[in-house]
Amino acid sequence: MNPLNDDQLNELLRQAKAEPPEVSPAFDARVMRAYQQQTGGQSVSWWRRWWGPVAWAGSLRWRNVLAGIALVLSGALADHTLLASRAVPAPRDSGSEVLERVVYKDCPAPSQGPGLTFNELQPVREIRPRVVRSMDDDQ
Amino acid sequence: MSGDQETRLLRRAAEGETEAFRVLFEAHRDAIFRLAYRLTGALDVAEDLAQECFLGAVRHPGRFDFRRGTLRQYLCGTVRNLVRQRWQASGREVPLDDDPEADPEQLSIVLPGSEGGTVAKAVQDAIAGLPELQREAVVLFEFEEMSLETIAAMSGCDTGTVKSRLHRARARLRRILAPLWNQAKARPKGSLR
Repeated sequence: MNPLNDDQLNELLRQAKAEPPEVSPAFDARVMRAYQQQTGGQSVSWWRRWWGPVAWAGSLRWRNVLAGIALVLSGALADHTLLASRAVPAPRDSGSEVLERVVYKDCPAPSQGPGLTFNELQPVREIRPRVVRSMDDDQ
Repeated sequence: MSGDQETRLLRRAAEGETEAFRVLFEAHRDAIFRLAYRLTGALDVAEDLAQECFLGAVRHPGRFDFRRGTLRQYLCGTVRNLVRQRWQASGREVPLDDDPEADPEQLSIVLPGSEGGTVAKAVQDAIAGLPELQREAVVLFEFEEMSLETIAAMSGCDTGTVKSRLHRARARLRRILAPLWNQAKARPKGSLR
């Protein structure tokens, strides 16, 4: 038997295409049921409810940008709060002059009386260098 | 529907949003089922494969990248892989490409007029008798109207190979379907139905 030519074959294929197979009536329900079983039957995930209001933002990229901004803001807020709690109160200005002492390495440390407070450990406000030529000068 | 929209729908469906899944399913159901049927030749198997194809896509939404092709192409590729897996699992020896020993004229097709015989059924029988890779090429090109480049990308070969498979498939079909055409010519009105 002679084979068909291209036109004849195309005509047969065209007719076959015009009669596509159809799915059974129960197919849709079956697939939807299988989908529900696979996903555990949940309709909307919890985070989608949270992100629903920003769904207008559209693409994933925009949501990432928004999330980044939120993260930076919350970081800045947290940092500000922590810094505030760590702030050292300014030393109380008693009006009296803070005495400076020169401590020599070879000299015994001066005995600290029971009245020593942290006020004496404050950083110096003004450095006034003095040249000591002999032990007598320091008296 | 753009690739970006389809990606978002697929992700939402993967998160459990039934409506998103329904939209995707209804948009691609017929094409995916048709393809599965043309490749396997069995309605019930085609339904199983189409279902597995959609559920698989939802199970692994990250595998779809719209920059590499449309969701339809991705799903078609999935069906193709599922068909191959099924063949391998059943252990059937199927000639992948041209089998010089096979005589296509030995293949019997149910001609229109006999019980259950339609042109579509006869053509489907003829396609089912093709070696797998030729069948794939002819179904994707003739029925799904994919370009040679798309088929080549999906099959992992070059366009020249796809052209060659297509040429051989059509040559076989011309021989297998000759009785169908001759029967139609013999009819008074020349109708093929």
